[in-house]
Amino acid sequence: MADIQIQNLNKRYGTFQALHDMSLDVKDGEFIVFVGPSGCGKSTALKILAGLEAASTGSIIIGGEDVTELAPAKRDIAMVFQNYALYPHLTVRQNIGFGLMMRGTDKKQINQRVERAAQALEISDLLERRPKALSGGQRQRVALGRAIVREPRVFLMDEPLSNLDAALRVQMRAEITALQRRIGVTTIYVTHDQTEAMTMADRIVIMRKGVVQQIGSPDALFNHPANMFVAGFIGSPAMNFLSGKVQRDDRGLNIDAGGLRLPVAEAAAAYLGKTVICGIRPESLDLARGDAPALEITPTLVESLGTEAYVHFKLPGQQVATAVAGEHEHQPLGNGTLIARLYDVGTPLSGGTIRLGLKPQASVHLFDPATEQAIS
Amino acid sequence: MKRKLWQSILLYATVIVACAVVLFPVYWMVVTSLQPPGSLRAYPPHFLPPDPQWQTYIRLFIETDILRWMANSAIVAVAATGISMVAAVLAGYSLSRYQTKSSENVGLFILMSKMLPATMLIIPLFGIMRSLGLMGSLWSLIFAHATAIVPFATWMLKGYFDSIPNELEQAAQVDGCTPWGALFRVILPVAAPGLAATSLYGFVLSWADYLFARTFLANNADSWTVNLGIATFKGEYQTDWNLVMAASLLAALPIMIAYLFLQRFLVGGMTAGAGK
Repeated sequence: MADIQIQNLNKRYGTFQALHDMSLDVKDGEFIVFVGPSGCGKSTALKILAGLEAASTGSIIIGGEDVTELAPAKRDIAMVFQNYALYPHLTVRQNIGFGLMMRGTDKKQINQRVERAAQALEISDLLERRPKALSGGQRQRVALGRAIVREPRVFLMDEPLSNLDAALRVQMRAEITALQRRIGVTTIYVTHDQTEAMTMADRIVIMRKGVVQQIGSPDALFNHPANMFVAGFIGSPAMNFLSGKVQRDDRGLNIDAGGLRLPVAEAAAAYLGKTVICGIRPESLDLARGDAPALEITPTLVESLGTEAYVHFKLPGQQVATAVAGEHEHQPLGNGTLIARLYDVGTPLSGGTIRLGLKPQASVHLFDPATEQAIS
Repeated sequence: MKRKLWQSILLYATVIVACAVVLFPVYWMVVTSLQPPGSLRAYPPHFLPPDPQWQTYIRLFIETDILRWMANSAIVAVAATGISMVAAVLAGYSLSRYQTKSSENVGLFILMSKMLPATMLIIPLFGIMRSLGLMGSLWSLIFAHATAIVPFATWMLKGYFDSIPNELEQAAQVDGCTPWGALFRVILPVAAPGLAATSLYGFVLSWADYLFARTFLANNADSWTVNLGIATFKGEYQTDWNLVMAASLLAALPIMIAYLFLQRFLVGGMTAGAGK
């Protein structure tokens, strides 16, 4: 186990800059998730950490030792790959024990440790099989076994769940988290799935086009996004963005967004009279009660999930194209569709007009339309 | 999906016809080798020899140097294939994995050299072998065959290496291998079917050669390969076709045996299970 310092890491491929000045301190035993859309540089960062790619500039320090120039074999790390990368010509036992064999561990000890790892992952009965005779979930466990058996200083995981079906992914997600907590090895996990990031991480590093956007706990990223990209990326369905003018009336500073009166903090006073972008999470909206200010909307689509319903609607002239449009599956649908996540609706919603208001205590996130940074 | 009766009939009929076309010449070689030369042109032809002349095979071993020729052919084929495989594995692997701007051009250049007819290569190779003092030596043939095998073998192997996910050697490197270690411990075992197929290609190419052998070895009877030896059975006025066919059948045996041994490797699928 070890802490990791990533200092001013840059990676260039010709003229393309895949990673911009990335810096990060990872505490011993911490579970860090790199998340972002495809091409954001998260896998590149992981490969540089593993030593499989060379950094253009910057350094990586693991457990106080500068490993920037060291070969992967000398870094004492273990890696789980997206496609598992099991050795097809070896049995499960040989796959798991391969790293130990390469390090010259005694044969008897290899067997003991392989069996212990197999027991922990409940794959003891598969030890003599070859990878082609295993299901996707079993291969995933073997890949994990190959990582944990070496007791490395750091685990690196590159989208290890992306090839599993939805149900198995949820199960393996919980198992990997529990396993990491139990053995306490510093882990860096790469995913493009914000749900995985939110449920597994101690801290999330959210990236876009090679630049770290924000580093923080899942709660911090959800409740205090640093910019529109983070706000739109974290949370499912994604945050709605509306434009509105900051104004002051007898009830204080507020924004009028399409008929919805959104009270805002004094921090927005600097934008008085100017247009800002308001971020409202779909779960912050609810059916308006009484004659409170509300959005008059006609649902374009209602997706009922039993206990909740996703109400899709449009506000012509109001919605703002998000900074992440098209890059992620959790985006609002194209051409400015907004979503409200309503609970216990009771009656069918499609067809007529409904009124949506803001839930009490719901927070509104404000962003500068020019810089897309949060206004705090 | 269950096959309909007419589909089965069509399928088996096609297979039988294809097998007949391929196997009939071999069968005719057997028949010819067992008949006296005089009855070869009999009409109607004998599809089963009335009086099989097994002694033709005994004559082959007693009256000719077939064993030495076969040994020479084996030495040349094994050595040429071995040398070629070392070069082709490294070239194919580097073309597959270390892609630079020039690697595509290098790859095409290698393939282009395979497109040249062997007769074009004979003259420069003749000059090279003579200045190296290798004329009449098996080494001349080994090197000449290697020049013919390496280009195509490189491309065959590049194709196999391309089909192996990069993550396998990356996993091996994280597990403690050097890049060389990853190649030998992981990539080559996984590419075994490709190695077997390519080796067999090289072996057959070398074993079946007559042109290079005729050019480089004709003056040294001790170095003759089996094809060169068999060619000497053809006389000016008379040819013992039964002897030619018997020797040819013997010459084909090593290839058949090699196919039998390598058959399981030639069926791919080794990488199944490496990834998702």
